[in-house]
Amino acid sequence: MSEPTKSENTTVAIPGQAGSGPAAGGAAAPAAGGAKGGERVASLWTDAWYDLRRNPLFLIGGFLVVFMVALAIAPQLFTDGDPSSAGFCNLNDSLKRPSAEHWFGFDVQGCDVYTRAVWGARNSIIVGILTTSLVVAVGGAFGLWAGWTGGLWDSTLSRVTEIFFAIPLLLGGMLIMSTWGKGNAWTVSAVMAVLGWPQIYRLMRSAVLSNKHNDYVVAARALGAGTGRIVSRHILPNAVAPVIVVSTINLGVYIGAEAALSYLGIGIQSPAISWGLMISDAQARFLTAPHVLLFPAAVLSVTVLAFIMLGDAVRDALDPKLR
Amino acid sequence: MGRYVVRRIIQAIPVILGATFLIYALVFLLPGDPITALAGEKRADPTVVAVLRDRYHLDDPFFVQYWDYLVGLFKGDFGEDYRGNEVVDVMTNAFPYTINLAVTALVIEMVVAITAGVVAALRRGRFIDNLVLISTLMVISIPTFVIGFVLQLVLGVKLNTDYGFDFFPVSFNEEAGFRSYLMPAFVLASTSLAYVARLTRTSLIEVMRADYVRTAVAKGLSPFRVVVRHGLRNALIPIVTFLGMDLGGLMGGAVITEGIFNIPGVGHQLFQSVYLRERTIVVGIVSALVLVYLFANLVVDLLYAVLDPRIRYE
Amino acid sequence: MSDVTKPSGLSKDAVPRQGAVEVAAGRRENLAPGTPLLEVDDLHIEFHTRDGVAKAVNGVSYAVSAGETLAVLGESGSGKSVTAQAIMGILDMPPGKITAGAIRFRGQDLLTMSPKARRAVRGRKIAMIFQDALSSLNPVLSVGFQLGEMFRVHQGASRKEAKEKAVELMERVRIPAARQRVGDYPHQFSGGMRQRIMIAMALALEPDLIIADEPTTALDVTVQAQVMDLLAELQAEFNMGLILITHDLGVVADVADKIAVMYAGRIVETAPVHDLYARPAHPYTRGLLNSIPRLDQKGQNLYAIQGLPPSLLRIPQGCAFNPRCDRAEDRCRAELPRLVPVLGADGEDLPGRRSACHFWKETLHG
Repeated sequence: MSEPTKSENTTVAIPGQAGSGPAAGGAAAPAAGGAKGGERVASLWTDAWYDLRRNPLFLIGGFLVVFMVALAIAPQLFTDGDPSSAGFCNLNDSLKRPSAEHWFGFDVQGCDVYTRAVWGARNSIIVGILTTSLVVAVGGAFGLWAGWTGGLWDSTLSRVTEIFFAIPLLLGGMLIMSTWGKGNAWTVSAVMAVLGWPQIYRLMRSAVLSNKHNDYVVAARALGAGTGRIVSRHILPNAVAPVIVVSTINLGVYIGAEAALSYLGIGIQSPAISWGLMISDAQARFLTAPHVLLFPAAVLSVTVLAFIMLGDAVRDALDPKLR
Repeated sequence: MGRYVVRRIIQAIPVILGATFLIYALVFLLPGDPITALAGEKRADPTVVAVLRDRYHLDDPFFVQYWDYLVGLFKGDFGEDYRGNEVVDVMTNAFPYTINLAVTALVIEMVVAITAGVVAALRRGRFIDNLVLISTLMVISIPTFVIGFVLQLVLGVKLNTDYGFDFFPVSFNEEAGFRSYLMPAFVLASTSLAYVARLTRTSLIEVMRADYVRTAVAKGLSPFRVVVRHGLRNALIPIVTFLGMDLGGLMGGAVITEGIFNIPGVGHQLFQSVYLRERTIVVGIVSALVLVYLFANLVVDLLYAVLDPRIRYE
Repeated sequence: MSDVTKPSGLSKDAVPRQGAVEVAAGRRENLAPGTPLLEVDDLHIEFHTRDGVAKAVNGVSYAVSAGETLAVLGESGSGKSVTAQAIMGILDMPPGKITAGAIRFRGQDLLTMSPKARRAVRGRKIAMIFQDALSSLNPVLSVGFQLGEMFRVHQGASRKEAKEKAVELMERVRIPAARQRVGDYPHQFSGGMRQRIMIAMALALEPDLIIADEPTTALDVTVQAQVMDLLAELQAEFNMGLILITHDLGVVADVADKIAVMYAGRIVETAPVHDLYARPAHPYTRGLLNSIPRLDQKGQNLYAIQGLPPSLLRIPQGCAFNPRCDRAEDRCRAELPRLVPVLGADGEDLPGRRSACHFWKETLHG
């Protein structure tokens, strides 16, 4: 690394480029902290929304996500072809280059890559959403429970998550998927959820623990609020933000992982369409017909990117420290 | 410090036991009979199958098998595969490739990512910062195997055919030596590299905002010393944690990278063994990888204590 | 520092030890008589925030001489710390921006200096003591390293020499068992001890000027007194200038020579310390004084200035204090009062006394 800063001004600026928030020693910050958890959370989201609407990352990411979900729900709207129909593939078209009528060209079987890529969105989106939902449901519930009750259950569950953390997603996925053998969107989601839940568990547990002893929770309890009310009104709203951020990013990561498993041949199986599978099929002729691999790869990457951008934007908006 | 080390080691034991059990259980549930799979298309002779089943204790209850395996593991005996090869031998042949690959990847990751992260943090909001942010975001989004293919095409083939620059072998080539590892290691490291660059950036930005950095500036230290001695020293703590955790990801990623570049490492071996239903090799390799990972985490924990005295004196 | 000969023409308020006088005199020989050590001249600082431009400092001027203690008093947001950060050159820019003014140290404007020259002043000539020693000391470096760093960086001392000097410094600020503790980390010390280490760090190179930003706010009351006494003692010993930034009138009384009271980025009153306590010339100062709990008025309701400090994004027209002032009239809402010298009841000069109130006469004498 060469000299990191050249002018004095930058040096001075480093310690607290406090972003655009109220200046350190300057303006009195608008007091945002009500006594109740709910109010704090509300203002957090209001502020976040203010930021998000102006964040190009959020707008682009959001648009792409909506577009991909539309592809998944109604692929017919985006293409006339139907990959499951007879005569969809024509060996005469094998490996034909992209053209005006066939934007992405043809694969080795003579199938239209564009149509397959459009229809492939469904499995990816299903895997992403399903895995994330399962992970949030299981990890969230366990994390809430462990954090709230503490004691033996907490320590046992935390040990168990350590074991799961020791097994990398792809290795574990390979083991279980080869055990199961029946690769489809549902089984792949289930397997990734089994391996992925500890992450949300940890997040939820620490959010609960850090809020459990906050003054307003103690006050609510002293006022006679029941466990259900405290958890739903005070604990959960405060834990939701980090869970949403991580889940949005992970949704993209899971879509990528599904593609990796399918690419290895132990994820979604043919004749179902998966971008990972398309890439896997195209790899042998990559050097001669790169478009067959690159188009599904691009669509996959853009989808993953969209979710990560969305999650990133939400995190930046919700993290007051980075303001 | 001594007590801290001992405590960490003791804490690692149940995780090791639990993880090996989980792996063994998962593989034990693998469908299909391994011996018939071994015979392939031909019908196996029933008596031979029986002998083999007996030899590999396949008819023992699961827990007995696991116990035997665990005892063997402690003696360094990973068992035999169904062809009679010692699993340890299979692994010792394959591991050096993977270790070379992973270490090269880790070094690339640290050097490139930390440099990029520091530069981005110090030039926050400027062109270079946005460049780092956007390029890392793209690298994270593009699946490793796609990055692998594209680099293979661009660096391995095009660079050679179009420009006559024959530096990166298209696929692994023992004679090319270290050169052979560069491209695969970069591919393997790519995703983590992007994460580490972003983490370094965030961490350093946060640290540079700390009061003690202001103190360092007020002491009249040079910008370089402020950033490196006072900033980076603190910002490294979460990065080291991530690098340790990430070793697991590198191990998993090795399956894909070694496949693309034809490196005869454990990832390659593992992938083949899953297909061949070679349970002992699968369990052996995955257990070994998990042990490496847990060991790395232990090292990280200790490093953590070196980096942060507040933990040392807990 | 060996060719110490000429005594300087500086006035000596304090009577330092013999050796210290010589040392101090030698180091300050170039300063013409009457020139203040540090002079802040019509300083303006803004912060550009998402919600607008916050005018944190709006024309602040003050001066400090060697051996003198200036207390800068004000609530948070009054601009007192921001001014100090500007003097040190540790202001966060952006969002901060110095829009006008000068900061002259020994007659030289710090703001127009080259970064390198500026750095040579920081720590060596002007040092700063921060409020929260726990967060202001680097948690992962030993206090010995952090103290010794001053000698290593500025004087090129070896590791061993630096450590030796660090021990000396720690002894000087009366940290028990300094030699054993030199390798300890900040979190292993008590709050008072940590603040002593901060003081030691500021003193390391025997600077001409020390800026102490709320040095005792984070400490227990008993420890506060010890730390303040130590600071005052060392200041006298080295004949340093001291700018003491605080919101606590109680801290100021014993150690300061003169006081500047700040409100909404301006100085509203300056005075020698005892005059200010006896007879404030600005309603805001009076309010501050009245809000100190006093033993002789036990049982009475404690006075509190009504309202809140203004947002620096929207500083009130006219006198910034007018919405909270019980004396405010139309003139206060329209016309910004300038900081003018105030006179005694018989029209005599009151040296050092200034007030930025249209009604200083009524406040002072009424």
